[in-house]
Amino acid sequence: MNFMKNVVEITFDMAFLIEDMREIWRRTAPFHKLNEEEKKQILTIIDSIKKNCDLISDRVSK
Amino acid sequence: MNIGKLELRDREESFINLNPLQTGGRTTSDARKAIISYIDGYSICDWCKGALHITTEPDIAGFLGEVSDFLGMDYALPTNGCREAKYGVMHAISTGGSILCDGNMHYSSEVSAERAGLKIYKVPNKGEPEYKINPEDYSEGFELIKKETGKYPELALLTHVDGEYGNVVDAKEVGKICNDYSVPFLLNTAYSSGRMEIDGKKIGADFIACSGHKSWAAGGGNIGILAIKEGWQDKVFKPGANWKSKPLEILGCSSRGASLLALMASFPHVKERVKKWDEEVKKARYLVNELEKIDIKQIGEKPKNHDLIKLDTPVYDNIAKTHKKKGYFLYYELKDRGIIGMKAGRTRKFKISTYGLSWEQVSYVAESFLEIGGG
Repeated sequence: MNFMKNVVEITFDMAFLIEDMREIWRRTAPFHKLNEEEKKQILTIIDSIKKNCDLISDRVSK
Repeated sequence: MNIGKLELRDREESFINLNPLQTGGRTTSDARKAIISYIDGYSICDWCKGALHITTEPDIAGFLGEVSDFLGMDYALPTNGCREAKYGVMHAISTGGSILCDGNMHYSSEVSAERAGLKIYKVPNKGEPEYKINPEDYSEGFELIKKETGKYPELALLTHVDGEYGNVVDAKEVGKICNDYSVPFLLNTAYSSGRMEIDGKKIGADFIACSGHKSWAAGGGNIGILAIKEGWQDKVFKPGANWKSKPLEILGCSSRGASLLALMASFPHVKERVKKWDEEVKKARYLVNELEKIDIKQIGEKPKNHDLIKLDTPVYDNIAKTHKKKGYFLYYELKDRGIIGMKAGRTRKFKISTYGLSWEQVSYVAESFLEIGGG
């Protein structure tokens, strides 16, 4: 049960991170020229998604 | 990219969208997260207490209380849209009498009144070039109805901001007249509440109809709000004879899924954004000022008091006459520049909205229109 809950929560967390990224694309359309703060936000989101992917990989590989 | 047979919709991410119907309903990331989580059918009913509006998990009851306060009203119910809110009031009030509406009303107001069995009278707008509704004409309308039917109307409706010109009517003035005549006053705020601050008590409104998907940053379907003043709940929020928790006018429970959660999730953002309304008006005025440097005229009240802008654009119409893409040239020229939301084929008159755009985006839109027009 814990296993399922964790991977599900992580999956939702990633979906929500994608929405945060989507928000930046919306704000900067149509050219998506990002300022330093926005670049930092995107990189933080990507890093978090990567960590979440690794966590799920670990869980399902065990 | 496709989703089965559906085309991916990335208009908000890949373009600047100027469609007035869509700019105020552009969702927040919180709304989209709520939608993702509550997307399944009847998701809102996990902890049902017998009716939507008394549900506390999620806290719909608490939310409705906050919304009432936000609108300066006493009670609120979620509806499936603004038109359903208007119809609910009309249906509850109607005994087959008449209704006085503004001449700039949305078609859904008119069909709601017709469906509710009300005879429709209109306060005409003042015509070119501003098409304004004069609040004082409501008195004249009331007297005309009394003369013709022997009674004052059962209801008065005002479209606070119309969807054609984006004119903002002095609702407080109309409210005062309605109160003087003891005619119940329904304010349609589809294009105002959620964008600008609305205080129903100051306005003197008995009922306020709102559109979540048009002006409250909600999506995931249709969602509206009907807010009422103390004293009307027994009539307008009356429950079914055998279903004491189910309000008749929303058929017991209206929006039973993600759209209501989207509205709730966006609400904290909406409460903040209405405080920045003056900035939104500045952007609209700036764009009009820029566009009128070439053969373009803004139609409707001047200066603008709303982000919905109607334009008369002979400059593009003249280009279309000789352009190989004819009337479609403007649509494609704008799309090539990453701007959408215009009806394809329109070059003479069209509507746009600057709501929610950054100053950088508004400047770019202005530059693009001017460049296409040869300015």
